[in-house]
Amino acid sequence: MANNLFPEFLICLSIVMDSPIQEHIEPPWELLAFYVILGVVAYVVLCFMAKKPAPPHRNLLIVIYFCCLAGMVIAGLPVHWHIEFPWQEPIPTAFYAIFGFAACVFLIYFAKGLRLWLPKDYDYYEKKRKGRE
Amino acid sequence: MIEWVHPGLIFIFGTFLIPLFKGKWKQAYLLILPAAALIDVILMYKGVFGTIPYSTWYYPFLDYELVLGRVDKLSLCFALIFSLAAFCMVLYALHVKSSSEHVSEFFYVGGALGVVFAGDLFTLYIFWEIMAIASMLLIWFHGGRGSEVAHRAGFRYILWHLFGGIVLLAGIIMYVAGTGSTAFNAFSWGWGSEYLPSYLIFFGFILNAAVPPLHAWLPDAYPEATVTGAVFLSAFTTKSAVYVLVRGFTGVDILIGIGAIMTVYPIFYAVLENDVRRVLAYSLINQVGFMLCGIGIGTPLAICGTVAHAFCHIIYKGLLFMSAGSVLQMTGKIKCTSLGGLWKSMPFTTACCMIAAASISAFPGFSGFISKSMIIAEAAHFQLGIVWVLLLLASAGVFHHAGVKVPYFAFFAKDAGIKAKDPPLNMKLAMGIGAFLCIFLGVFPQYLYNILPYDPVALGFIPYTAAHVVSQAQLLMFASLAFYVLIITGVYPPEQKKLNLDTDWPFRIWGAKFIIFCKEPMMDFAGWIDRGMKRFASYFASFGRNPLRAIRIALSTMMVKALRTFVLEFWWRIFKYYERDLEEAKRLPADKPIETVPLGTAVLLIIILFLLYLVITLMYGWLAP
Repeated sequence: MANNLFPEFLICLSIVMDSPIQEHIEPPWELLAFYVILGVVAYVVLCFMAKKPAPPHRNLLIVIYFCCLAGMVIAGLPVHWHIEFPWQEPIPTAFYAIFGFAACVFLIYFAKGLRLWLPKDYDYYEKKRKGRE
Repeated sequence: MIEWVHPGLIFIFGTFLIPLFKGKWKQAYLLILPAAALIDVILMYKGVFGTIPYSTWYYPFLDYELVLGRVDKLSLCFALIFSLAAFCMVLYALHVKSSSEHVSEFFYVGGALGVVFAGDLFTLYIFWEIMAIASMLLIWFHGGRGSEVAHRAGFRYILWHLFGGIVLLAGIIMYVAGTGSTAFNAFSWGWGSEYLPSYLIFFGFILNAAVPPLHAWLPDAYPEATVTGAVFLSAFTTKSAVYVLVRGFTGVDILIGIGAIMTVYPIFYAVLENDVRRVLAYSLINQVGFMLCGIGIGTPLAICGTVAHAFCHIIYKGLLFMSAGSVLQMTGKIKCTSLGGLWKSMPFTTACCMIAAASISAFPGFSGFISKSMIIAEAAHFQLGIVWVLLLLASAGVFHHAGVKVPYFAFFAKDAGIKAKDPPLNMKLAMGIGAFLCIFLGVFPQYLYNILPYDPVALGFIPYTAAHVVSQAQLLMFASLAFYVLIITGVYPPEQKKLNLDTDWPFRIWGAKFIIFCKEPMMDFAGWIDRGMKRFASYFASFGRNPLRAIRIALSTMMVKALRTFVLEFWWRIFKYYERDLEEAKRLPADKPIETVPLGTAVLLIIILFLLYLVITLMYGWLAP
C-alpha cells in the first residue's frame, strides 16, 4: 500500500541514502588524536587552576605551550618545502613562524597607533546630533 | 519524473502559516520547512528533477522571461549550504515566541535561495530586495533596552541597501536596454564607458559583499540585531553577494586587490573593538575578503576555494555568532570588558566557540583549513607576491582576533564572577550540529570537494600535505606567541569602553548636517515661496471679487513701496498721496463689485465668443487643406 502511495518518496529516500564519496583523501587522524589529548590536558589543568590557583599548574600549561612551539619548528625540518617567493629562501623551515610572530606584533602596534585617533565615546553621534538641534 | 520545486518558495509561502500554529506544533512546523527545503536540494543533487545543469520554471513577464530555477553545480552548492544553515539556525531560534520574527527570518532565507536560483536579472532583483527588507526587520525586532539604538542602526542599514539596490536596478535596466537579454551570466568587463552597466551592477553586488569603504553597514547593524537575528544575518546577505559575484564577475582583476585590502582592513578594527559581536562582524568582512580574492583570481581551483570557503564560513561564523548570542542571552552582557571566566559555568558554549575559533583561524583538521589554503595556494601559484603576504597577514590577524581574542576575553581571562548556565536544549543542539560539521568537513574534506563546481583533487590540490600542515601550524602558533608575549609585557592595548569611527563617519556627520540643512534654511525658503504664492492667490481672489479695488491697491502699494525706498523732498507729496489712496482703497467694500453685470449681458458675451470661435475654425478649415 505504502509503495503505491509514495513510490516517488521511496525512490528519493533510497537515492539520498547512498554515499557520494568517490576518491579518498586520507583523514588526518594523528592530528585529531593530538587535539583531543591537548584539549583534555588543558581542561584538566584549567580545572586544577580554578580550584587552587597555584603557580605549578600554570607553569605546566606554559611548558606544554612552549613544547608545542618548539615542536612546530622541529617538524618543519624534514618537510620538503615549495619555495614560491624569493623572501622564503633564506629560512624555509621557520619562515611561517617568523612571519606569524612579526605579523601579529605589527598588527597590534598598528592598532595601538589607530587607537590615538579612532575611539570616541559611545554617545559620540548622539552628542553631535543633539548639539546641532 | 517529479516536478521541480523552488526551495526558496517553500520558505516564502510556508511563512504565511506560521502565525496559525502554537506551542509544540509551531516548533514542529518551523523545523519541517527548512528540512523540506534541504531534502529538495539534496534531491536536485541526485538528479531527480533532471540532469544537471538545467533551467526550469519559466514565466513570461512583459516582453521578457523570468527564470526562477537555474540549477547547476554552483547554484546547488550555495543552495545546499543555505538550506543546511537555515535548518541549524531555525533550530537555534526555536525558543523565540514571536511569530513576526520567524516570518522575517523565513522571508530572508527564501530571498537568499531565490537569488541563488535566479536565472535572469529581474528575478535576481526581486529576491535581492526581499532579502534587504526582511533582514532589516531582524534588526528592528531587537526589543528592550537597546531597541532605540537598533532602530537607528536598522534605518542606516536599509538606507545603504536601498541605495545599493537602486544602483543595481539602474545597471540592470541599462544592461537589458543595451543587450536586449535579461539572462544572468558573466558580464563583460573592461575599461571604458561602454561597460557602465557592468560597473553599476558590480557596485550593487560589492555593496552587499561589504567591501570597504562600503562596509560600514555591517559592523554597524549586525551587532544590534536580536540574538537569533544576528545568526541569520551572518550567513545570507554577504554570501549571496559572493555567489552573484562568482556568477557574474569571475576573473575580474580588480577583485584581487579589493579582496586583499578587505582581508587586512578590518583586522585592526577587530583588535580595538570591545563588543564581541562587533569583533565577529569585522572578522566576517575579513573572511569575505578571502572569497573575493579567489573570485578575482578566477581559475577553477580559486573558484573551488571561494565556494568551499563560503560553505565552511557560513557554518563556523554561524557557530561563532550562536555562541556569542548564547552568552548575550544567558548573561545579558556582550562587551569584552564585562565578560570573562565563563568557561566554568558554560562549558558547552565554550567548547563550541573554541571549535569555531579553530575553524575560522584554519587550524589543520578544522574546516577553515581545507578551504582557505586553496585560495592562498592559488595566489602563490600565480606569483601574486603582495596579495599573498596580505592574505597571510590576514590569516594571522583573524587567528588573533576571532581565534584568540573572542574566546579569551569571553570565556577565560579574569573571572568576572557572572552567574550563568548553558543555553536551552535547542540552542545547544544547533551549536552541536555546527561544531560537528566544522570538524567533519575538516577531517573528511572529500565530502565537500565532491559537491564543488570543479574537483580540486583533480586540479592538483591536496590539503593534508606536510608542508601545508606545518606551515599553517607554525603561522598560528607563533601568532599566539605574539599575543601571549604582548599580554605578559603589557603592550597589548587594554579593552576600552569606546566606539570606533569607521567609514560611515562622513555619512553620519555630513548626512546629519544635510538633514539639518534641509530642515532649517531649505524649509525657510520653502515657507517664503509658500507665503508668496498664498499672497498671489489671495490677490487673485480679491481681484475676482472687486477688480477695481484690487488694481487700485496693487498700484498704490507698488508706488508706496517704490517711493519709500528713497524718501526725497520733491516726491514727498506724491508718496503721501499714494499712501492716502491705499488707505482709501482698503476702506472700499471688498466683495461688492462697483458695477454688477446682468446675466443676459454675460450670456451675450459668451455667444459672441462662440461665434468668433466658429468663424476662426471655419476659416482655418478652408485655408488649411
